Amino acid sequence: MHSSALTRFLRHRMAVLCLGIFILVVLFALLGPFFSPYAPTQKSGGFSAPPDSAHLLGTDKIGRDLLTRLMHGTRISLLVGLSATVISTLIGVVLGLISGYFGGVLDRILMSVTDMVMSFPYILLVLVTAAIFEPGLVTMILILGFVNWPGVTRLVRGNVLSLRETNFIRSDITSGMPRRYILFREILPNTLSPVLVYATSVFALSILDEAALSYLGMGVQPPTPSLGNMLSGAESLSILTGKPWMWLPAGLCIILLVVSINFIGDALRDAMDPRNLA
Amino acid sequence: MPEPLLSVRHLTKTYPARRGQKLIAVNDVSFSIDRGEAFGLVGESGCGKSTIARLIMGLEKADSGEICLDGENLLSLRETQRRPHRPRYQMVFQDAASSLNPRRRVRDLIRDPMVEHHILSGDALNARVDALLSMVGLHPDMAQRYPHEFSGGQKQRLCIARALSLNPELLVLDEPVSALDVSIQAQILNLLRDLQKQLHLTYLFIGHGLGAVRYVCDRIAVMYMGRIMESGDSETLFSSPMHPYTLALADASPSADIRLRGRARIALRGEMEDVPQTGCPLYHRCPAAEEACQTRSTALEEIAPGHWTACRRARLLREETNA
Repeated sequence: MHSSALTRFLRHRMAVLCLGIFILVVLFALLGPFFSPYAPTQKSGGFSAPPDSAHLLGTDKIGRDLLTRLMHGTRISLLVGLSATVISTLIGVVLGLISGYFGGVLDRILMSVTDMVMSFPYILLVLVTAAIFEPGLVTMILILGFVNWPGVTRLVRGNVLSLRETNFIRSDITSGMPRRYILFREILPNTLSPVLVYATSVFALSILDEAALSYLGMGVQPPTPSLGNMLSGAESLSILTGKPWMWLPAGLCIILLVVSINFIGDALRDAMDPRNLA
Repeated sequence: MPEPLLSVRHLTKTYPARRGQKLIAVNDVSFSIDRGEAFGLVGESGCGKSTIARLIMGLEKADSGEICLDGENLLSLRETQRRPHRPRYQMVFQDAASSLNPRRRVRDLIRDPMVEHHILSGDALNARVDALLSMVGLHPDMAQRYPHEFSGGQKQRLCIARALSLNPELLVLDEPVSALDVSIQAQILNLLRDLQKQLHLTYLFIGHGLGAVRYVCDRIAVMYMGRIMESGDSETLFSSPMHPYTLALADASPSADIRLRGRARIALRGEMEDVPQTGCPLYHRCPAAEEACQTRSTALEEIAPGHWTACRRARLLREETNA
């Protein structure tokens, strides 16, 4: 079963290519800094200097090496994306299981909350939160983790509802199997693959959201680099048109990450389609 | 007389339907099954026979009535109180394919209920799984496989093995062969018959054709629109049915029995409609219906020892048919 899911995944040329790109970007972010002679906050060259042999991607407006900052920034963005995804998936799976399995009043309450969170303009939520608490890495991870769970909850709930009607869950009930067995041994494993697929899109979205928020200055705070706040240099028209090295690499990095994650997710969806399981 | 293993009394179940109406799926049904007996419930789709199975298994809540296992009313128990009794009555579903978790190996599927109910542990558990597989005609080596590697008939064998793992006294079989190829049906029916003798099981066998049910069961009840129309031991019911509906059901299934050929056939008109509020539920479709059938109630009546029918014209009709 698993090997055939793998072969189905490998049939997607684009996804395999994207997986390669994604791995390269991750390696660049994780291992790159070890090969860099500079620290991400160290001023080591001229202001806004174009690329040369000492600074391969040039320097930013206070003279820090942009390649080093790009590596660290990608790291931070991946960290934010991953953590936010893990948090929202955990919340979503737990609430979805509860909502779908127990139903009734609890389900209605949970679904109302879900709708509320879904319909809330989260940029506003983030701005308010950032105004109340200190904006920064942890705050942003928590905020992004908190806004993205409703989708997972709905997905899991729907799955639980349909699984509950299958004969194998019925036969668990008639065999007197306890609730924890039915929930965690039977329902949960059968929900994981759609959740995994959904999580890839949450991952990509979280990276985009991080970039947007940091660009607005509400996310990761300088001097810590992130792909988002590295883009904020492009606010100025002269940089945007005259000094592309200061924003283009960060933008490219975001695009590569988001596009490759989305393609991987698409291929996973096809590979793990339950209709292909039998 | 020994107490029956399962007795169902005045069981009623309704579902909400359109425009605030109620659909009466099971209407005041009573029957009992003795220990070691195979009892069949027959009727067309939607007659309420599977609902009875789900009510007995506690998958749905009954509106009223009693379901007693060994004298204890299951309907008065909460699920947690019911759980220790669960191993005593097990169910086999019609669709074997969806009765097995696709992500788990056969060994785990069969083993888990026994682990949960502390029936066996350690090596004895594995030996028991092997024994169960052999018992239902599968090879013990197959325990390592996943359900999708099995054919339809084999999957149903797996379900039977899983149901038997808890040493049940009563097995509720909800159309266990209806989804299978005809050639496989006979194999499964034979297996069920053998297992019943071997393990002294009590069966509630639900089917929509008389043939399969008659093959396995000692006694049969025929249901129509949530009510029992006729019941009796299977040979009597098959050779001399009294109720027009049973006659029609018997005539609808092709028979190799030469004695039954040439007998006047009874065919029902139309389809199942809304249940008439009064009188006989079959009134609209019955070829033998007369004015009075529309208003007079039809309670089960014992017309021969152990042979009950809900048709007030049964005797008369039978004489006409034979003439």
